[in-house]
Amino acid sequence: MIWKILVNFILILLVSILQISFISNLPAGLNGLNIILLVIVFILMFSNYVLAFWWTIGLSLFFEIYFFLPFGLYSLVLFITLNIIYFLLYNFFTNRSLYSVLALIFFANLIYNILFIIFLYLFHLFFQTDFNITLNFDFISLQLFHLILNLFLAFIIFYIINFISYRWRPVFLVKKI
Amino acid sequence: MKKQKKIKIIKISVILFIVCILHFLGVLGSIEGKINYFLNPLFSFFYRAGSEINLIYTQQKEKRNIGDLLQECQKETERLLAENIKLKILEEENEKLRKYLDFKKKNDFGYVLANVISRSDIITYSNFNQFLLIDKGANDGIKKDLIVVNEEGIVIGKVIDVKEHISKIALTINPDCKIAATILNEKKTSGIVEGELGLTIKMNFIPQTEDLKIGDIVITSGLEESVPRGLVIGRISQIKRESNEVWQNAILEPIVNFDNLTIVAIVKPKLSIN
Repeated sequence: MIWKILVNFILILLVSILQISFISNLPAGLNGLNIILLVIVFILMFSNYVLAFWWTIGLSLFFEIYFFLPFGLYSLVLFITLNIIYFLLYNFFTNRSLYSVLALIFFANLIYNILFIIFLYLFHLFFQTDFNITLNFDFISLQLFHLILNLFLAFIIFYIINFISYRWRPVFLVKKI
Repeated sequence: MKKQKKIKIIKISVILFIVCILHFLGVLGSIEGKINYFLNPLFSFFYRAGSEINLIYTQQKEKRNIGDLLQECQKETERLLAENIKLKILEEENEKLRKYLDFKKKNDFGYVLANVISRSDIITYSNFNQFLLIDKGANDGIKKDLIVVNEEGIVIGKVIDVKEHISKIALTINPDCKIAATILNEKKTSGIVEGELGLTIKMNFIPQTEDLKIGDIVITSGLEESVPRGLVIGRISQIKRESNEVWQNAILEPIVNFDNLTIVAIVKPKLSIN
């Protein structure tokens, strides 16, 4: 049990460091990759809600410490995203197919970005914090490009997982928490 | 079983809510600081790995030999530019001191070196990340509005937020970075520079009567308490002048390359250095 917790903690730390430090400095638009969302969707899909929940807590706590947003905002956004994706997974995309993964990544990115824009704008409105996002063509095309990158990475990860293990082949999911 | 798991999740959510409250009360500050302190070297290591990839990509893109040569020339130019500006200012100060024999230096500045650990922000809203996170914070004497320079002494940004062991820097191309500046022309025109669109720097509030030239160097004016005079910010690349406006604007081209920043220096008043 303790080993399981330790391994998960180390993996959470690694994913956080990769996202915050390594990916942020990659060239050619690769800095738009969001492995946090990818990891959470894959855990939801191939494991269970509880593990995804713990990963969300761990990842969001690291991000709260390293980002300069109001404390709790990142956790809130990630939790809402997790729960919406869980709802979509068990009510609409009820198998472990590639299309389900890609659809869930799409919705996860969309919900994540929209929630952040809304919350950042609300904070700007009520607490006069900075809000430098302009919803113009450049911004939307950049977000689309990042979405395509994330979908491409999800595509690669999906096939690697399928290659590695027969346990995670497409099945219909019926079990709920 | 299902109900028990739901209750467990609700309990954990309540605990997290209490953690948030404790954070806002300042109780968790030292714990967060310790986490930053012990993990910063790891972040710095992975950031450098990303920088290496970035450098390889840039070199391949620009064709290696030419890229190397250009980088060398660029570095040399930056160094000479910064040195030249310092010498010009020393010359001016020398002349003034000759006139005012009892002149005393008000303040001295020193540098605190820091590793860059991240370039990310929650939502990337431009092709170019305009923020840096560094591994020095309030415990190292870093405060808001301190100027940050690269190894050649050229301004790369300003500190906009500080925690115990990390700080957030807005690059000069970021609209959040505003610096009081002077143009090195005959009249030493003053204005405010701020980032524009994450690509360039704009100098505002320049009187219409001032004569500007493309290629003029812009430096920090020293009018801000914690910012020394004479640090190079950029070079004028475009002048925007409308006859019906009170002010004219200048677009500056940053001299520094923001791509491969791994170590930066924060300029601090010497009296406050630990």
